[in-house]
Amino acid sequence: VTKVLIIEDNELNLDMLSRRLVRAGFEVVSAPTALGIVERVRSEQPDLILMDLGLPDVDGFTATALVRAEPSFAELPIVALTAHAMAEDRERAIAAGCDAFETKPVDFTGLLTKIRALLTPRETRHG
Amino acid sequence: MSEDIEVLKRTLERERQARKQAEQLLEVKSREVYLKNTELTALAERLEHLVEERTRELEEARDDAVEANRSKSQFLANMSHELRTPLNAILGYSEILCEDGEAAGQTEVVSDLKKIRSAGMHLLSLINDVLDLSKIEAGQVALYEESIDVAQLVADVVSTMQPILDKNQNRFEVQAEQELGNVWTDVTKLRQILYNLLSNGAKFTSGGTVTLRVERVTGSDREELFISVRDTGIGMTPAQIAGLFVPFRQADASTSRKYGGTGLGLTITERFCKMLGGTLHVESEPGVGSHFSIRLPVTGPSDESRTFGAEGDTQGRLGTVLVIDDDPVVRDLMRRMLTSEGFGVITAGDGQEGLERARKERPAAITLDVLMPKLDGWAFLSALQADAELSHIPVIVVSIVDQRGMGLALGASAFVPKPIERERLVNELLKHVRPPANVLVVDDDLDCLELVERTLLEHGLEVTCADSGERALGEIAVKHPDLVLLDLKMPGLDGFDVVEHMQQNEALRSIPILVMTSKDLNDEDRARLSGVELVLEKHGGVPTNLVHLVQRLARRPRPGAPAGLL
Repeated sequence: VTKVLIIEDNELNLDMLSRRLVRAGFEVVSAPTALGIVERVRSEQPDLILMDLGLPDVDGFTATALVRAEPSFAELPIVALTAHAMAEDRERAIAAGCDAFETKPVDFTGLLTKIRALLTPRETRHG
Repeated sequence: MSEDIEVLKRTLERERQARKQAEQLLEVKSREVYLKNTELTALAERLEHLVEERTRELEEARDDAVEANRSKSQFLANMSHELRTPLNAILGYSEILCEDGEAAGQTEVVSDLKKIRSAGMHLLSLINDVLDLSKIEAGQVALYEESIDVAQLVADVVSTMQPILDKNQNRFEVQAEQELGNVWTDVTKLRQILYNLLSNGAKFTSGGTVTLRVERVTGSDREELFISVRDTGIGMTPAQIAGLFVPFRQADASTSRKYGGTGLGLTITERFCKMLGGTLHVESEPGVGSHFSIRLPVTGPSDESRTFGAEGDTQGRLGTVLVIDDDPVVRDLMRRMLTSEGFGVITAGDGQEGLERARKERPAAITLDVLMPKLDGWAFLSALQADAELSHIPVIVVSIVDQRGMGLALGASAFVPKPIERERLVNELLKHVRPPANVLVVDDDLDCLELVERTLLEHGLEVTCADSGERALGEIAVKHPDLVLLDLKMPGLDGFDVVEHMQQNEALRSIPILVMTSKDLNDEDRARLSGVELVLEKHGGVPTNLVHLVQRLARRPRPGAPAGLL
């Protein structure tokens, strides 16, 4: 089973997204904050992270950068989720190390397509 | 005889008198002139002063207006963000319930849920309108130009819009028989323009006709794409037309009540037209219908810098990219792609010229073709790697020859195949191009602080200064610098405290610290500094290897960069 870690501070959105992913056949773990993100990723060992960018304490850009700073997580797919629809947010997210960017409200079918593409092995994806 | 003398005397006396009077008069007049002059000078000065004052007032008023408009746009952007979050939950939950309802066969519930979802989507499109406009007003909309097939675009738009056009018992006609060919433009914006005009026509027409006409015409001095949307709807009065492109003003309040919408669609359409180098023209008569027509240059928005082969923007918000390719068409294509994304672009036609430009201009990244005359791509890579001053520049190999292994071995950072996929190339560049490192210098000795600041600035680093531990922690929290250059002995919070605080805070732990101190460190001190990258001794002045160390530490592989990309 593919394990997805969701970092999202909005309770409703977290609940909604978790339930939809579970229905789509994923195992979901979550946290409302990116504090302790590196330890969490290390202990949960997710296959993919859905990262809200506008978080309290540590924002999603920083959190992504922190995860990416660990050599063992350099390849871990991270999808940024944000209600900010500006192009510069996408640039920032990608510069911080996100692999994909999804604007809220989430187009769930589109999100699933992105997740599945990111979960196919890297070589096939780039080749 | 004495009589003659007498006469002569009197004459002389008279002349003296006359001269005296004349002199007096002259003096009076001179004084008057002088006074007038002084008065005039004073007036001129006063006038100048007044003009200056008015100019200043006008400038202030203009700045205020610009600022007010900027805040308004910012507010709209924020508001759109705030509205999206709850909307995300509304749409998501209604979709979950729809699935449940369908599974349980509750058709009635499902149909109601679909109404909630559809209303949510409508709300989203309104929010997007507001966001689009605020982005345009804040100058944050970029153009993504490419060559597009017009007939294909028209077919796509027509099939998407058909259901909307069929509403209100309207007849929809398309007149686009002629060979339309390709045009160089931003397809997303052109599509949006067509959507907006067609949905506008459909919205204000009932039981009538909406006609879309597309043709290629020769304008006054250029070839143009002519697009017109004509409807037989309610039409507009001249006063309504005048207010048409003023944001936040619909034809009148009753229009907004009856027809809904933000009324921003046409404003956005008109702004997009301008961005694409075109014009929007409107004719209308109340009760008869409206006719919107657009003329767009087929070669894209042209100005001096955009003409084929011109150098254009070489700086760019995101840094300069050196494009090395022997094909001028590819160079021009890359320039257009990258400048519209915010990169500056300089180019070279072969490896030799590429090396010269790289030495001279120090680009933030290089894209490299492999098969080239003179110095080929591989030879270029080897030469670049051998040059200590250039070897840090990331190189993205762009080629039809898929030899990523070879590129990697020679020191390339990434490989992008030809034909070039825009998004992929841009993503690779964004991953590898880094803005100048930001260094926070902390020292309570202001002379030392200034000296270090100046040295680092001279080497192209961004520098923030803090003269106390407290200030330093504030700056670190706000700026997340790439490196902290830290003095140990400070009143109040000292360097040790700063290190400790950063170690305890997970978000700050990864920021490298370089300590510069004149203190002799004992074992206990060293233990407290165990998380620090490096301790430099300070003997007045700047250590000779400081800049080198700072650059190396601040530019360590950043998250998301190289490792295992190839």
